[in-house]
Amino acid sequence: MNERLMKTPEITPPTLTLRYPELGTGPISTDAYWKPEFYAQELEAIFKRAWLCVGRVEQAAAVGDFFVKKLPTFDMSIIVARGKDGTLRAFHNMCQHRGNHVELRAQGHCVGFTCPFHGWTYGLDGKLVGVPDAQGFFDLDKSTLSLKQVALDIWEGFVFINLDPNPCQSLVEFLGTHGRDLEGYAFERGTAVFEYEGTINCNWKCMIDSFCETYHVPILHKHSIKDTLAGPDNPHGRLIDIRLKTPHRTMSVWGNMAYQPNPVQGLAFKYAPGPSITSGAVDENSVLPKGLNETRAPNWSIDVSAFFPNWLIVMGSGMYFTHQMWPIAPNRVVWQMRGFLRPAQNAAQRFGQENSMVELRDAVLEDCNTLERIQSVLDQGLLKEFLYHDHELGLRHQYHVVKQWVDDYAKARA
Amino acid sequence: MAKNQQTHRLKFAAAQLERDGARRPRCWYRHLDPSDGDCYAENAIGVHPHNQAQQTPFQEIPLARRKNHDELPEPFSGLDKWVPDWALPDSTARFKKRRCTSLAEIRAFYDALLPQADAILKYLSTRQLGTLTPPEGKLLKLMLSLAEMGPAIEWYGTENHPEAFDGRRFPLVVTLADMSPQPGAHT
Repeated sequence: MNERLMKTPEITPPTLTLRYPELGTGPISTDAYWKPEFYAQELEAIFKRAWLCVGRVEQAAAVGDFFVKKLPTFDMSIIVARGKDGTLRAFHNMCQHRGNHVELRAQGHCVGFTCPFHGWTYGLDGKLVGVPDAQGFFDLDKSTLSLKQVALDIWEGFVFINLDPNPCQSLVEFLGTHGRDLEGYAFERGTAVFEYEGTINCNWKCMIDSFCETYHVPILHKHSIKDTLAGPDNPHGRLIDIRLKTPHRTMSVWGNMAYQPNPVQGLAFKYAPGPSITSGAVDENSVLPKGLNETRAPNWSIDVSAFFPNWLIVMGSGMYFTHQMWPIAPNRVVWQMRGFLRPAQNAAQRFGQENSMVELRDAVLEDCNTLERIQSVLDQGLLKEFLYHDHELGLRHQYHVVKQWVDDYAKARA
Repeated sequence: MAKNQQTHRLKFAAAQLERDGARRPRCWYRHLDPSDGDCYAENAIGVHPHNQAQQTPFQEIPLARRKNHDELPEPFSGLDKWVPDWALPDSTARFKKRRCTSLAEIRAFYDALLPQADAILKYLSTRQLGTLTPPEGKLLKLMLSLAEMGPAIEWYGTENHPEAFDGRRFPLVVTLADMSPQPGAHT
């Protein structure tokens, strides 16, 4: 056997799905990807009950700092504010008098919130502190008129909320081993933040699916990332591994260690503040948590960690980015992609950052026309079933988890 | 206006026209971008509607400043001519520039910058964000345009990539500043 073949790590054979016999191997009904009745159930059973990521602690680091997160799914506005006691709290952005938003800025610093309609004022802890001309009201009890609080908890610096007033699980329970296995990653070092946002005409789950398999990489991304995430030693874009930590999952993505970058790209790798995702480089100084590249494969590039229901972290050893999908209709989704790069230590590294940002955007935009074409076919009711490859296990898993949450909720209410 | 000043002005405009002759008709409007200090950035792609009326071939920008505007640090002064069209205000403007520029023009810029790119980056790696002089800032902005144009040449090599999704539908809503120091640096 020649030396190269001996060195080439073996590509994972098609047996991943067989590890999870409860998921089966058959075709999957497409009903969940376009039917309005199912969509309505998803909102109630999932989006009003699961923990949803809304930001990072750095966005409200000091007492009096706040940020406002819009949840497109419910056309809802949530304030996250750090109180005088140092505690982060989340509130519905809603005055208790007539319902107007009390904070109109996206972020800032304040001593409290004043409704711009009639001037009712609330403290950072949400308590109603001032009502102009209060004696004109009847039986006004300020102590019962605080801003309506939303359950909030923090994991690794990420702020999660739960719209259920009495969440059935704590955040720790909800994240389970999936969360525990990723603890210790240097999330806080990604201080150079950028974000893209757009509305794509497809079901929210299809959008998530497009980042959960790399079977399409050698074909759809043939101009861009084919040679980094697939390549001659992995021509069909197989994954290294998939680990289901229901309801969450992680896909470990293969990387071409022999990749020779293009000229500008190569300069961007050289002058990057941390290893770029497509560079194949690994930050030797980073201690990777157990759950990142869990099989410790040498030919690893990134992990796609899917947090049920609508949040993904794509993690390399030196940078990461997140996708969040907010359904607004059975066939429309608001997609937010936020990048977290290491800060530029000099002016040249700003160039490396720009190229990372641009390549990431270009590559993910290649997925979007396909998604919209698929959705138009689904909306016509033409395609009844999806057939999943072994390495599309992540898609099969998402379907089963969503179905499970919807069914369990319906049963509990029956 | 004194007569010699007028002559000088016309000469400058003529030189400018000659310099730009080979390229597409350019927009002469210059836009003062408050986010980047004393930086005149060429609005090379289009003109904001409320500025339409100001579109005129002769700008009321003092010549001395205009000249200074195009200057790069001495070792790279051979690239000065790229500054007016390619030193742009921010990432959004650069993406727009890429979408609105022919591949031939992108390639001309790419080919001009690439041979010196490593030397430029070595130079910039000795400079700190937040302390750049105007010529250094222009140099960085040219390189940021190169970062944006790279994939157009190196990945796609075509203006009409079949899977190209309309980039206007996926805008930056939080952007990295071009020249400000970044939180967490040097810790």
